[in-house]
Amino acid sequence: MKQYIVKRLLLIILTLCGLITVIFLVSRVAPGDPARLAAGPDATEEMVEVMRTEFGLDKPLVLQYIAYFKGLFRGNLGRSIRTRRSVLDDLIAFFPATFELTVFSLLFAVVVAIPLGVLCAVYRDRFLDHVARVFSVSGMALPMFWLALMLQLFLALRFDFLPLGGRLGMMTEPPVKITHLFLVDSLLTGNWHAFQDALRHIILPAFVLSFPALASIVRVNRAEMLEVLTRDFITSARAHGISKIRIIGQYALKNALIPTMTMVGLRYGWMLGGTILVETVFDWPGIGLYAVQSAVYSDFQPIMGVTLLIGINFMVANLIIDLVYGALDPRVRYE
Amino acid sequence: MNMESSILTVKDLRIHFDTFEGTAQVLDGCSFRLGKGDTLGLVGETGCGKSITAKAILGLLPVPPTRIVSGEIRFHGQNLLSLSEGEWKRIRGNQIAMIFQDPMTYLNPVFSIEKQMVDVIRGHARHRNGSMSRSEAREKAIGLLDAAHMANPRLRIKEFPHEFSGGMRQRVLIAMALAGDPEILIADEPTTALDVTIQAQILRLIKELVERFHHSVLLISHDLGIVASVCRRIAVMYAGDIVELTTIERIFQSPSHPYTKGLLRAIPNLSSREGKLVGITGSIPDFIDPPKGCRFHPRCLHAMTVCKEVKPLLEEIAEEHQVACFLYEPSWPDAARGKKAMSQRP
Amino acid sequence: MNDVWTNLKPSKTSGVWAQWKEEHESLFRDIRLSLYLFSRSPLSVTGMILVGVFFLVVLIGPMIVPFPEDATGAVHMSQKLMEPDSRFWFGTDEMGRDIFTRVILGTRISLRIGLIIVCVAMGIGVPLGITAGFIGGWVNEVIMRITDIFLSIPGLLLALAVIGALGPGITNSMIALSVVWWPGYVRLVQGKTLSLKEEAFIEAAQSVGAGKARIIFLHILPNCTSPIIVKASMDMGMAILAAAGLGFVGVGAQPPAPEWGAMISAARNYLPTWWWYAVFPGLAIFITVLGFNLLGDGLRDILDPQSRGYYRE
Repeated sequence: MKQYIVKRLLLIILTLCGLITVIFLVSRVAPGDPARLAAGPDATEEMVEVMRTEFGLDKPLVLQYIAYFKGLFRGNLGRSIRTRRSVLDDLIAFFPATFELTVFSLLFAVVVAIPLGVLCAVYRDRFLDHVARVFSVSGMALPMFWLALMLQLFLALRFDFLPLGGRLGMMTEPPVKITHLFLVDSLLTGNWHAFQDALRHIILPAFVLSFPALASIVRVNRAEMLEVLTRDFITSARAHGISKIRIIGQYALKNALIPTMTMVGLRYGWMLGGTILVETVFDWPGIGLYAVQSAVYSDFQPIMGVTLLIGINFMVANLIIDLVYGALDPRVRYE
Repeated sequence: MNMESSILTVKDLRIHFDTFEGTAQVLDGCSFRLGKGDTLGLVGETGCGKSITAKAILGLLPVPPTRIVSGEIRFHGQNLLSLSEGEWKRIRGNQIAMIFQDPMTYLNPVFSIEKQMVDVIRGHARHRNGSMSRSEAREKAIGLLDAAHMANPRLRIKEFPHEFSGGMRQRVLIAMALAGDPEILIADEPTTALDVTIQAQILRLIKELVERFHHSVLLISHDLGIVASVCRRIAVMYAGDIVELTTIERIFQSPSHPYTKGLLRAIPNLSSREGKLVGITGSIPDFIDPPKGCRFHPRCLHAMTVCKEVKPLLEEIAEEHQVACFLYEPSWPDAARGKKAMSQRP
Repeated sequence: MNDVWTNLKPSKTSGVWAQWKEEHESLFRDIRLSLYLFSRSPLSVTGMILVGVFFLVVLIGPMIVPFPEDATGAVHMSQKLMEPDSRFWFGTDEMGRDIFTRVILGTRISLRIGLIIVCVAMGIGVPLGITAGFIGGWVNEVIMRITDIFLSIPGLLLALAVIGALGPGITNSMIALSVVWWPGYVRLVQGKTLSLKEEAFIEAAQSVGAGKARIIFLHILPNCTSPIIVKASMDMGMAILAAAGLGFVGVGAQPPAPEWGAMISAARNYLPTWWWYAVFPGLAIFITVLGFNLLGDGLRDILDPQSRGYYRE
């Protein structure tokens, strides 16, 4: 088992190196002068030349590549023209917000969608199934940013149920920074008021972010449950008198979860990408918003930093999903 | 075989199966009895309806698209076709248990043998007299695996189905079937998916268990030889009907139905020096549009006019020997035979 | 005993047409069964209708819109931000332009975007996939590792990164999204090719001396078309959605182009009072993507029922 994790970590590092190479090539191959890109749209000629030497852009490509790698190891991800800070500092500042949002959304999606999928399979073609199907089908077609705006329109602007955006109300002090995750920190320090406020602020963005995931996980789980329930070992379990609840909740579900996990992993990826849209609408101070602001400003280095960070995030998430596979399916354990 | 001593009675079971192309009349009035300690083999080609009969007894058929059109299945007098899910729990595994064909697909791949057996054992215990702890159930499971001649059961019980060989998995299924101490054991092609050498071992095991625990057995197979080695009685099925129902000795001494005769002739005999293999011409009928009258008549060398019009019912032609064939009506001319058969229809 | 060859000679009584019909009887039966199953699913039929309406609007859009000049930058400040009424069915935006016209003409932009992205992605991905699957060995490894790298970042982010390098604009967003979509086709086709390669009929073809090109074009490619068609129809919807997302964020289509995402982005400033500005373009995106999704689902049910389609959606 440990061997497997080690092997996968090596693979991640390898893929990461590949990603870095691709990023490097994209930034150098891009039309236009990379030095100009790094200097920003309002730079003077002298500033561009300073950039050129500072980033070693006058040296041959291979040396640049090596320098880029060395820089990465030292944590040098470049500098943001817009915020005037190092990209690394910016990422550290903004990542916890995105992490909290995406993890919360994923948990929400999984906790709601999997039981719902089971219920839809068991009560097939009844009212619940039809309603769920309408949501599932529309869930993947609904533009996240539009859903966000519509919910803002009705819940925040028309009727003042939930806040319009941000992580905390303007009057609320953020909780003591332990994990930098507001929900966790406020619970850890017993700060009930901050917890409530953080919760009220995260509900809407998390719901929007998780909506497409909810939709697809319900569909997949339902389909897998229906398929597994036709399998022979279910007939066998029934023949031995095993109760219906156990058959559905254990015998069938554990098998159905295996392909469902694939979908969970995929949707987490889309969630990470979706932060670009959701954080923009809700003014959520995460790296998605950071990336968008950088892109609009033509600030290239931060975008690369965000890409790298989310790439790592996604790969680690996939590794975790693989471990979950191992926990579910004994046949893949000893690879 | 009289009514009083039979514990399972299948009477006139008619089952239809709805498909895109029409309704397949899969079972067309199947009837037989199983007594206490009795061993009955159900023999027929693939697709003749024997597996469906077995599954119907335990209520395992998927109800759409399958439909039980008419008939009864009585177990100790109780009609199994009208049971609720709750009532089934008393019967399944507890009083009637089933051993399935392909032990790979009939075991849950993601749970250990221990978990699957313990669940079954504790379930049965709950329906009998209360409850059983996990460790007690585990001990009982190990004992059952031992009775099924599995090597090292205490160690291997923690393993998963894919870690066992085919024969071992079938022993697990057999052990699970015995867990509830059932009266009736239904074995649906228990050796078909196994190698020939393992087949012999498993058959020996089944015989030994039957002798030890006195189950009644319904053994389903397409192989006459397997049935002959385990069962005392045999029912030959063709295209959804039972065409001959008798003892093993009589089926070999005096096979009566033309289909049975054809089957016996078709078994290749290694010691004989005869020439060609003899088959039965034609093929099994289309269940959606079955032949009128006797379903075998298109392939039968002795088909008469009445066979094409009227369906023959099982009639007793000797002690413990029933045949469904107009050739065996006591010597009456064609038309009168037809009229008699029709007037006897319920 | 019948001569085995007798049945192969064309019979003199039936013509060539009748014989062709008989040879392809199973194909006809399959088609009839597929159409029947498709029509039985109301969702699939709905999808087909929605997509049909979409294409219809694309075709006749310019002829039916009341104010075509509003899509190309006309400004009528006197009628800005008017509520939907009988003249302006969807109301007007902050430049006084008829939103109904802009939404209808936006279908053309969306179709172009979706079509180009999917075609380019297929054009790159399918050949690469077949190559990887068919040749195998280190070629396969290299191609699949590169594909994995592209699949290791979420799509929208990768697109943003590419746009970051290339600059904003509708062409660049099409390029960016093609980069995002091609790996999915590589994976799909490579997997299918690998499993087809193991099939007996490929071995049979090779044993009678069929060349590699012949095997690829006659045996492998036709068997790949079903999953490719299913994926392409689902991808159309998803690509349009992604492009709208990029437009919303400001790096896709630029004003005054009537791209739906960009319209919603501008509309954001005018909520909640002038709500119609954001609502109608969003509905247009929703209905279009829904149509393609339902159609793709329906096609999958009849063309490729075993596939679970867990590739990049």
